[in-house]
Amino acid sequence: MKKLAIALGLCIPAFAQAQTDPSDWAAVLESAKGQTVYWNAWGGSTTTNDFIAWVGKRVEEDFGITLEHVKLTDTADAVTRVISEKEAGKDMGGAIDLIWINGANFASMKGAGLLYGPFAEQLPNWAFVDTNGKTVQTDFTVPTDGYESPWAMAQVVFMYDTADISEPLTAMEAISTWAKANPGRFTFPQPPDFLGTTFLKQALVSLTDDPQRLAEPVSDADYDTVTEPLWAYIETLTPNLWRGGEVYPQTGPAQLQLIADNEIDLAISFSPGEATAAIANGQLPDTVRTSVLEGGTLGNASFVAIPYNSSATEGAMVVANFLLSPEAQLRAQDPAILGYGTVLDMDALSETDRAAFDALELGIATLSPSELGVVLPEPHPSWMTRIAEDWNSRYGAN
Amino acid sequence: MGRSLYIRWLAIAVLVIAACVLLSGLLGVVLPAFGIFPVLGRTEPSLLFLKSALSVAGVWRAMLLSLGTGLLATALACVTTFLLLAALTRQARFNRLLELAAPLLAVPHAAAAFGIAFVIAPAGWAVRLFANLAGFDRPPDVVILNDPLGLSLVLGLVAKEIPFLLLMAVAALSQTRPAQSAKIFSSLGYGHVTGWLKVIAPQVYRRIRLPIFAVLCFSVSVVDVAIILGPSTPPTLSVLITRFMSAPDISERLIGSALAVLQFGVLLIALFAWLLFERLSSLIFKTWIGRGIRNGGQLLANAAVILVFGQMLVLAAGIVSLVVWSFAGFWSFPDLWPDQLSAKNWTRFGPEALAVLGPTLAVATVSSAVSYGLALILLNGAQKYLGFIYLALLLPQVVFLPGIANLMLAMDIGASFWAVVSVHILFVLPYMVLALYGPFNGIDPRYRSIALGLGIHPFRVFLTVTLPMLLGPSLAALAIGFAVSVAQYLPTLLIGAGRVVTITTEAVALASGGDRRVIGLYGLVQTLAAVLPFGVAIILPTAVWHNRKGMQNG
Repeated sequence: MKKLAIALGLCIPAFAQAQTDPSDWAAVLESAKGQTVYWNAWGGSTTTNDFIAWVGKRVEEDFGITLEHVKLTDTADAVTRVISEKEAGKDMGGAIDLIWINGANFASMKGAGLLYGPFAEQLPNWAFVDTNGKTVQTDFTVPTDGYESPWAMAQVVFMYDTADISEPLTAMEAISTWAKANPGRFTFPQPPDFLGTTFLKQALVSLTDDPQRLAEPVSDADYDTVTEPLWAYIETLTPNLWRGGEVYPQTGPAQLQLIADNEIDLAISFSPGEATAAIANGQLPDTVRTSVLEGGTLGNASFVAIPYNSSATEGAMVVANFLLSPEAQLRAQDPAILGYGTVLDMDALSETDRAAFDALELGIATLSPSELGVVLPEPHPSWMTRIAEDWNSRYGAN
Repeated sequence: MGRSLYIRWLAIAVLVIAACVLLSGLLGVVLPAFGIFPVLGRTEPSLLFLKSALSVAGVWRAMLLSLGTGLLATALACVTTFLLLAALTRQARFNRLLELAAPLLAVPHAAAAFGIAFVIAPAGWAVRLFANLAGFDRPPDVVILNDPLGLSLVLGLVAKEIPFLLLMAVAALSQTRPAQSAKIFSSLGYGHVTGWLKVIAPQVYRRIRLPIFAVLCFSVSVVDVAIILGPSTPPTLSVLITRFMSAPDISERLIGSALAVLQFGVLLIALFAWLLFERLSSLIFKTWIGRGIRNGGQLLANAAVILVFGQMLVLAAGIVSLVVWSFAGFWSFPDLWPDQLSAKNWTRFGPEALAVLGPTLAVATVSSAVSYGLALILLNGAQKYLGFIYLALLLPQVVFLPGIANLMLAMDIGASFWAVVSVHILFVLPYMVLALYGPFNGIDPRYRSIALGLGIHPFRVFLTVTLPMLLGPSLAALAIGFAVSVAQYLPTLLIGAGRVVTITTEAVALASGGDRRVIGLYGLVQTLAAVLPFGVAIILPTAVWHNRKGMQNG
């Protein structure tokens, strides 16, 4: 059946091309029916995979859309495919319909004209989105301009093992002091891994005198001055890291294994619900809890975007819209399922939906929205690239 | 040797197609390396990116690491394989030992590396054993895995290459008439090991020289094993390339391509170094043979046997750890065993994993069968011009594949089963050819001459004389081809664009989540997909030739 659908899809690309105006939603739904949407998303998290499979089941039931999750190790592989298609002049009938994306990948695809849009703010469920309280219209300071639609909020937390650390470490300086007293028990993923770079950015944001400066692009004129506190901090911290900073975990999830192996006691995470889900999966000891920093931690949104040459643009928009529905958002926020923060504005929801969100129980290691505290905006993406490069020449190539 | 004319034309046609595909892959590397990248509006050639590649932090160290670990791993694997064969071929249970080696061969590199990592890591099984005796509950903070010199990477590579070389050597061995040689050198008073090394080893080496080159190329350019076991500050060159190719900033890909050009240079240096190494050892060997020493190899061979068994033990323990992890709940240091064992992981992921076995086996069967046919055509018709098909093995896939994807898109070949099969053939065919090259040319030409002299059509001679004599090598080649196809990740993903899902695309994506339970489970299913052909390749020749003493090994 699947093969047949694929064969048909390849034979009649002409039908798929008529990209319907997103503001004519009835027409979008009509064209979307029967389409197969290939959603390229990181496949490393089994809980996320299960959630995407559930989304597939629901859009099939309600809209007659077949959703295929193309599991990636890296969003860059999807970018590569779209670049290849653009190079070959395949401006219609592309292989990718939807990408889980944010930050630098988005900036780069949008800049190279590889995305379809604007569509996000015409989606019917956009009405529920919290555009005032949450950074859903800028992505690492880059305006989204409707070229990507948000579906989850993320915020930096630190996971710590209460068997080894009794009180949460709530300042960057406290982490460094603790590391000095407990050498070899903390590390972070090796930049340019995005979570590792996030640790550097978090340190930069927390330590700099002028966080406002980070909203503007990097400039050679003051780069050294602005980042001076960061490098002083890292210089003190590095000798006290796990393996003395000679080896780093290569990915975020690799840190979970290090905690489980009792190699480290503290790790950074970009998902407040990750620790709870990992405890349930037997990946972390149940003594792990999470904490945030006093001055606040970085937060951003996860988005979905549609490549400019998608062969199921309408289907992709319907999926993006479904992801914004209270039903999908509620499921994503449930710590037993995903524990991702919602992008919706509670005041815009119906009474029953709001009650359902209120009724969600926090997981064993998840902080409540008020405990999560201040969400700090992401610096401009150029900072990320520059400090990752700089870290690499200082510590990544001994 | 008038081979029939259309075989030649057919062979040339195959080569021309392969050349076009490879050329497009090559252009996809070379053009961006020299600054031409239309998507970013760059159409003027420039040396800027090669210059920036050379000034990437740690690039020189990365090149040295690739070169050093690759050469060391290949040399160790090669020397120990020959010593092992010298020591064991006399044993009656030799074939049984090979049967035991088959599953080790079929374990995908990445899964094997994960297994080995879990055995040797500071929080691994070996240390846990000691920790339980000594009573400490924190793993020592010492560098074993990912060591800056790449020694654990070398260990991982050697453990996986020995079974491969062993299979290749055994396939070639049957043609050297070892039993007859052994009779002669024994009657001259040579000990088995010394005699074997002096008489048979050089003949086997000549026949498996190409597979050894493949091992060298693989070891110098491997990515997955190097990420798991290799150093990271800086990593090997191929890992560095992968980092640049997956950077969000698209223009970093130009530096990635420029680094790939450097990688090509590193490979050439490695090959050149190997040729020097061959010269040198040939000189030493000749002197040793010329001295007429009858014994002395035994000690060395025994050492090699112990070494190999040690290594295989680590590898086997690694595979056992995959099994245990696939049934594990929470499992912490220093426990030797998980808190709970359950089938939970299997009931959750098992059905999905088994469901993709179908397409995996279909792609592997078709691509290895077609490659086998193509390899025979090439060996019969165009041996002189074979060299360049190995190009696909020389360059890192992550830079080489976008060019091929472009070609397929330009020809409007959509992402489909056949597109994936055809790109798999590109990587399977070279292994096939190199597995068959030595044995094919090692067949005594007199058999063929006699058959032709009897007036039999050349094609029938090929079917009834040549092919049966190639049974062992053919099955080995098919098994390797099958395993190579099963293991392809990037070609399946980039060309298949998610339309063709295999156990490996699933396994690699899930492995990026770092959960040892899932990694163990998928590693096992992957092994399952590849293990069957290896079993057949080793058992079948013995069964078929049970009444042909001269066709059996050793």
